[in-house]
Amino acid sequence: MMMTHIFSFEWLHIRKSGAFWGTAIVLPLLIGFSLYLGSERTAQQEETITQLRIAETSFYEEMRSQLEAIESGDAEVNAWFQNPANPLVLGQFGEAGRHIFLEPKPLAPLAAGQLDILPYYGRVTLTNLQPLRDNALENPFMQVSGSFDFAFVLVWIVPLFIIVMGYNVISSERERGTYSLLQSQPVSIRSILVQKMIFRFLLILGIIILSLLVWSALFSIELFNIHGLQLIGVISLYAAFWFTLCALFNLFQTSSAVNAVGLTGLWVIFLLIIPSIISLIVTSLHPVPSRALWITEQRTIQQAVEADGAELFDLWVVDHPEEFVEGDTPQFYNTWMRRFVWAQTIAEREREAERQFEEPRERQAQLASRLRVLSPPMTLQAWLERKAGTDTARLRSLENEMRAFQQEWQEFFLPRFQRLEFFTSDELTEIPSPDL
Amino acid sequence: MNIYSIARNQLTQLVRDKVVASLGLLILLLLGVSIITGISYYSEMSEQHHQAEELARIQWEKQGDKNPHSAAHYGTFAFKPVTVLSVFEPGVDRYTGVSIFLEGHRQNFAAHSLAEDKDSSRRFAELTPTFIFAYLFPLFIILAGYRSITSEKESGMYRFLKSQGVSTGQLIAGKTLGLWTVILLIYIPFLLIGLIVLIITGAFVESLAGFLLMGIVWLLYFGVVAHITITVSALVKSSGSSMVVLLSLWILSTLLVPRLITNIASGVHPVPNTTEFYQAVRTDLLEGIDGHNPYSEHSAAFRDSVLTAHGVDDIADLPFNFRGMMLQEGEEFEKKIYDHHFAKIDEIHRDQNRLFSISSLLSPTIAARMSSMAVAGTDMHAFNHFTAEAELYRIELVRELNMDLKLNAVGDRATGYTAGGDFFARNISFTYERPEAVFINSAQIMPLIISLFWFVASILILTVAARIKEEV
Repeated sequence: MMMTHIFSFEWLHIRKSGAFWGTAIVLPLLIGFSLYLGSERTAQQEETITQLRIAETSFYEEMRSQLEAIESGDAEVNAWFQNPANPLVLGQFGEAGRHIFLEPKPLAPLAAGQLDILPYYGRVTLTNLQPLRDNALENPFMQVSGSFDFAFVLVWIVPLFIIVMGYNVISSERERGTYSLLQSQPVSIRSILVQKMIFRFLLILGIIILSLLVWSALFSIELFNIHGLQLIGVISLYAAFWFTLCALFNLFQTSSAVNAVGLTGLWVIFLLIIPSIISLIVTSLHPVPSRALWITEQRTIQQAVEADGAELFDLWVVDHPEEFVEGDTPQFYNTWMRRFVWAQTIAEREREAERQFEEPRERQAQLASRLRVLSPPMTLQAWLERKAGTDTARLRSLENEMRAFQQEWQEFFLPRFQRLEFFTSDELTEIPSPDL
Repeated sequence: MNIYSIARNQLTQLVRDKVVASLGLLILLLLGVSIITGISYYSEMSEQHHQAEELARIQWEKQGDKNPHSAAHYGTFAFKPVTVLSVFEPGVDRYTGVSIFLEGHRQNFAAHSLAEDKDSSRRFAELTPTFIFAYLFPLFIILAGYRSITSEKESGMYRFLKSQGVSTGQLIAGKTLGLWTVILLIYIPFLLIGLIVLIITGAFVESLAGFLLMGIVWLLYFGVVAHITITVSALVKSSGSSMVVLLSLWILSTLLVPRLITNIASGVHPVPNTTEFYQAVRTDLLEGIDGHNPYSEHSAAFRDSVLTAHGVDDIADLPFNFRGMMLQEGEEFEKKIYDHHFAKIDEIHRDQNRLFSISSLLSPTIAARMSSMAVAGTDMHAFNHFTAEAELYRIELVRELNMDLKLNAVGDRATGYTAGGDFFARNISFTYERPEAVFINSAQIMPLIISLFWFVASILILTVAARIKEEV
């Protein structure tokens, strides 16, 4: 009873306030624009994926029809590197190979995460793992200022609106002289404060969720599922956190101006100071060496393998006598057999050397995830990126997925190449694909 | 006289104000920490880059006897320079690749940006002087100045001062002077520390001009914030609303406009993705000479024209190695194609940057950041200059290699020709050096002008505010 009373008075009061109408207009617009950009970004990703899949399918279909033509005697093979029956042509050269994708998750439009830095797809051939960095051509100033996504609006901007709505709930009463009026009521100031806060909390939450649902429906982002429910839960918690801070400030006998300064100060601490100190600690405790040296190291590995090339290959043949056909074989066979052995050795040694980056990076991530609890905004950002599938951990998993698929790819093509057994057109349907 | 006593009074108040004083100290502390960590990071990086550069050269020279064109495929690297000014203004440094692989037939992107290897918490905020100056310092100025006039009104001092013959103009001038003094109290120590850093790192001569210009850029920015703060404080009724208005402006300038404009820019002037880019390049490459494929139509036509010109029927009868000639011909054609496509990307970036410059009319923060990156040599233009130099080097190196093949792989040396270590040691080498201490091209001048514009405009606004209040 009391609650509805306070709520209806609050409504009468708040609908006259500029801060409220400002919030009610600006916040939905910001949310809408961020979701629009997000859905565009995801659509573009999906488009890229579709295009590459089509190109891949049509390449193998083309190979197959060429091979069929050759088998039926309608066409001839011009050169060995154009023969569609050759495992090298099917698994290594030109457009051969497969793309591995980290497909956008349902909530991908909500957070751009690290997508502007780390690749979400790459190409695999028998010897190459090539993550494709679409961002390589991007204006780096974009990466400096960051993405305007829903995560940004929620994590950075929403708290400021909450502060504007909640910094002077009681202090303004005191300043307007209506405080003693409140005190004369049969309800404690504290419970009035709590209920006023709850009212404002529900109002802002309503604005956020309503605009989220409406815009999502418009941009076909699927929210009516468990993920959407979790999202709403998390948004409520985050808003509640900031309203609680506002309420705490209003409990003290401080002026509105002091409250505004104090709450903004907390915002600065949670969103700017703590994160900057965390990133400082994390990178100083576990420094990652420069990639400049890594590049030369890679080269040293390559040179070493090249220098010992003949010996390495002979050793390999001794170990795998059944995998190498000696005698009168084409020159490309001898060349590529060696290349595969060398590529394998180089890949193994590079994996080893790559540890010096992986280890500190992992330690950085672990430490950061522990320190993040100090700042609810950072925790929320991390949660959103995970939900959107645009977090560092997932994007880094691309390389593992590519490596796993390369294994499969090699297991399909290499034994055939080693025995110099070419493919027939029927067998071309069995070429491995990550989608199956 | 009045102005100075008002300023002195304001200064005393601010220094005694616990919140202002502790925030000021916090900023100084953060600046100190950011410089110390920045320096150690810088020296580590530049050490590693030097090592890498030397190693890469040794690897090139010691690659063993090889066909020169195999050496072109083997390739070498160019390393992005690390500048001491990046300690203060890292600019786009973290996001651009640290090295470019230079090889025959193609132009590669710079690869391995630092951002790829760093934890993502850094993207919230990274403790660098430029972060402190762009975000925290304006907040400090707002905090120090938002009440400067409103509190006089609220306490009734305003009327009292007026009755004492102090004009609003004098009050505003005094308060502004006081605020400026507080700003300089923090900023001058920073500048001194910065100069010491330049001396210690031995980069004093080449970095001084950039550092001083950067110092001026930020000072202009602080001036803009200070003048707007005083203006708002003079125009609104209460300290509370002064705070809210100023904070909204801060959010707009530092958070909203920069993120909005960069995202709008990438929508208005989209960059093709890497796959599209390479596809376009590949399509164009098919239109010309493929140095490796003597059977292609263009290569055959080229061969015939060379044969005719020398009046022989077989390439073996030519006085030079035809393959070397064809590879070079192909290389030059490929370069043209790559240059053309990279120029298109550059054009898109320029359009985007123009949008950023325009948007800095709404956000002094963008103007200041773009200007400070430009003078510190850590913006995209500086990076492009490095990649352009690396490309010049690449094409010259490949030419040396192809020429060696063309001139020396003749007669009985034609089959199985190799060049030795002494040849590779003689090859042109690459060390990137910035052309001048500060070099700014026409595209970068815009943000600097807008920074200056903001400063002048903020003074004008302040004067107009004083005039308005005088009349009331």
